[in-house]
Amino acid sequence: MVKKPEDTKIGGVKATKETQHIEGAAQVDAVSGIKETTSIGAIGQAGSRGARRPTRTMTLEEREQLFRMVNEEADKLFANSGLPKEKQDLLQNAVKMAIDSGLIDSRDEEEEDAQGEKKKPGKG
Amino acid sequence: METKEETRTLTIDEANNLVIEHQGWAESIARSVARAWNMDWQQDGLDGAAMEALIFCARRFQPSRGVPFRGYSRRRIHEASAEQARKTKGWQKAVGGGGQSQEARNISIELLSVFPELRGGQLPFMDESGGDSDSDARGAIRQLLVGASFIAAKQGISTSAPDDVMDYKRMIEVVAALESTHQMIVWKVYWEGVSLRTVAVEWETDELNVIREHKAILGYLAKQVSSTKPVPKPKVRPGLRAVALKLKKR
Repeated sequence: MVKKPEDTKIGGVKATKETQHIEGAAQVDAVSGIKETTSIGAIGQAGSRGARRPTRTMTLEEREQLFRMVNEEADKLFANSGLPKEKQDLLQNAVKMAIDSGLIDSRDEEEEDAQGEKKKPGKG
Repeated sequence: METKEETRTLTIDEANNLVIEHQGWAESIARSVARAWNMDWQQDGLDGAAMEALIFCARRFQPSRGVPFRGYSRRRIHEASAEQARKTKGWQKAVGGGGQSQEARNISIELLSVFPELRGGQLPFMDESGGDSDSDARGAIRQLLVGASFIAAKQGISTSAPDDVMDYKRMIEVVAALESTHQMIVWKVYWEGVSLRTVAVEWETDELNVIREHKAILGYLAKQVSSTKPVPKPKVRPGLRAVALKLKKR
């Protein structure tokens, strides 16, 4: 569009406008490349995470108490089952072994923690 | 969508430091396994198996997932130690009690597969436990005893020891009267050695449904075996009704 002569007329000078506060400029990050899209995974069923949450961890100190419970519960369970005594003992021992194998001495754990700290690089 | 940063495993140096920090702890797991089965944790090679598993876990560990390293690695280290124990000559030795110690070991190692939380020093409780820890512990122990009975009966069959099987006759009779879905769970878990999670995947259902059903079965069996009066057999819970219908149609 061609400018007309009257469009170039200079008007009066107005007062300088007050500058406004300039907020700090945020760092401009590099523009990242476009990421590859992936397919949407299957939606899991509700409640599948943390399905089995035991109430507590057993300690070696509770070992005797747990073994006593195994004996008592086995006596109740097999009282009318017709199972021979030696088989009852077998099952009790098997359960005790399975439980015992997971019991770590909490004193051992604390000691290993302390030694682990010492063994960290830069320490002793 | 996870980025590479979020799924990053540790560098070799970081993993090695993690191994150094937890070496003693891994050894304590190996010692626990050895103690339970009356073996020597070093002579029977459990220390080496535990270390291998520790290194394996340290190399695969992803801190960004928010799971503590010990929680992540404990079962793997226990499993490796137990597997090593089973392979060694020390496993075959029966100290006192003749062959019964060997038999008890065989049952206990299968019990660890059915109840993997035992490897982490935990009893198989459920979320809806009443809060009375003593009562919950006893309930869990009953489950373990019933589970051990199934395993023993199966081992009796597989070793062609009919006398052994007859000892568990009552247990087997009770199982034979269960709903077919429940029989299927017992068969898969105790005879085929399939985990509850695998059963859930096969049946395209939530693992929690199978776990609850398994617990209901064991609870019923414990009552039935220990009682002189008949106990009403459990019905399939709502979570597995659809599965039960599909199985019946097949």
